[in-house]
Amino acid sequence: MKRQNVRVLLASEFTGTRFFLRRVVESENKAVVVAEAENSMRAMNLARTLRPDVALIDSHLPYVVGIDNLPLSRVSGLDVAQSISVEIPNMHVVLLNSLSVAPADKAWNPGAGALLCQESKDTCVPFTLGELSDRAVSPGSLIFANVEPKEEIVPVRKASLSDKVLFAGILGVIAGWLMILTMFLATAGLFVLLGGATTALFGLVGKLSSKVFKQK
Amino acid sequence: MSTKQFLKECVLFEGLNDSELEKIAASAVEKEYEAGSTMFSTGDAADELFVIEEGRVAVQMTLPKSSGQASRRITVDVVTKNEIAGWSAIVEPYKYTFTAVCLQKTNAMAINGNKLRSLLRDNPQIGYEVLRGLSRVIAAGLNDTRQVLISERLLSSQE
Repeated sequence: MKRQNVRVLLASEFTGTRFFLRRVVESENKAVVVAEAENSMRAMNLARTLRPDVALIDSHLPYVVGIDNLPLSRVSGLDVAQSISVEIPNMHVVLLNSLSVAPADKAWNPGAGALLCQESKDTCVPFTLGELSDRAVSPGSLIFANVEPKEEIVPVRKASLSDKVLFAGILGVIAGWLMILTMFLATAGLFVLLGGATTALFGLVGKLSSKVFKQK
Repeated sequence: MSTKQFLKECVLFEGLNDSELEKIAASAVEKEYEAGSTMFSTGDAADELFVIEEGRVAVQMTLPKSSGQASRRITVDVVTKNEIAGWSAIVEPYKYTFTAVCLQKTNAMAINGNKLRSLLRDNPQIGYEVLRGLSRVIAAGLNDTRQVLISERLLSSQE
C-alpha cells in the first residue's frame, strides 16, 4: 500500500529556527511541512483548521510575541502542546527542548544534518516522522524530544555473544603474544648471561695470569 | 559537589553558614524526573521544596473549566538550575498552588517540608536568612510578571 505523506505543522518564534526545522522534516522523503506558526495562538488555530499528522513545537514559544530579554514571555510551548493533544487526539504532538541552543548557538555542521530523538531515561532515542505516524496516538500525551546533530547520536547496542567471543579471542592473542615475548626475552637473557659469564671468566683468567707472571 | 556546596549556590540558602547548611542538607534527598513527568500538582500537600540541579521545569496554573471546554494549563514560570520550585512547602497553608512539569530530564534536591519548617521554627537565625532569600525569589518572580504585563499592555495599545 502506498504510504501517505506525513503532514507537519512547525511552531517556533524565529524564522531561522523554522527554516532549520523545515530542513529536518524535508530530509524525510514522505514528510511535508503544511504550515508554520510563530506563536502559540497561531499554532493552535492552524492545528484546528489544517489537522496535520504531526505538530513540532518549540518549547520556547511566545503566546503572541516574544519580548526581548524576557524569558517569561516565551513559555507557552508546553501549554499549546498540551491543548492541541487534548483537543485533537489523533495528532502526534512533539515538544522540542533543545532549540534554545540550536541552531544559532550550537556549532552545527550544516552538511551533517540533524535528527529528532525522544528523551528516554539516560539516552535520546532517534525517530523519524514516518515511524511516528505509524504509532497509535494516546490522547493527551506528548512526545518530549530534542533535535540533535546526526554525528552526536551514538547508537546504544548490547554486546552479542559473538562480540564477547571476539573480545575473549583478542585478549587471548594479546596474552599469548606477551608470553612469547617473555620466552624470547628469557632465551635472549640466557645468551647474554652466558656471554657475560664467559667474558668475566676471560677477565679473571687474564688477571690471575698477570699476577703469576709478575711474581716470576 | 557536596549537597552543602550545592545549596549554598541557591538564592534561598546563600545567607547560611556551613553548620546551618549542614542542617538543611540533612533533610534533603536527590531525586530524578523524566521529561514530561509531574513533580507536584496543584492542591497536593506541599511536602517537599525542590532545588533544581539540572533540567527545566514548567510551573503551570490550571484554569477552571469553562462551558464546553476542557480545563487548560498556563505556564507562569520556568525554573532552571539553582532555582527553586514548590516554595509552598514553607508558606502557609503548605499546599502547592501550581503544577510543576519537567520539560526535560531533571535532577533536583528535594528538601523535606516538615523538617525544614521545624528547622526554621527552632532556629530563628536560619529562619530569618531563608525567609530573606524567599522574599528575593518572590520579588524577582513578581518583577518578571510585571514586565510581561507591561510589555503586553504596551503592545496591545499600539495595535
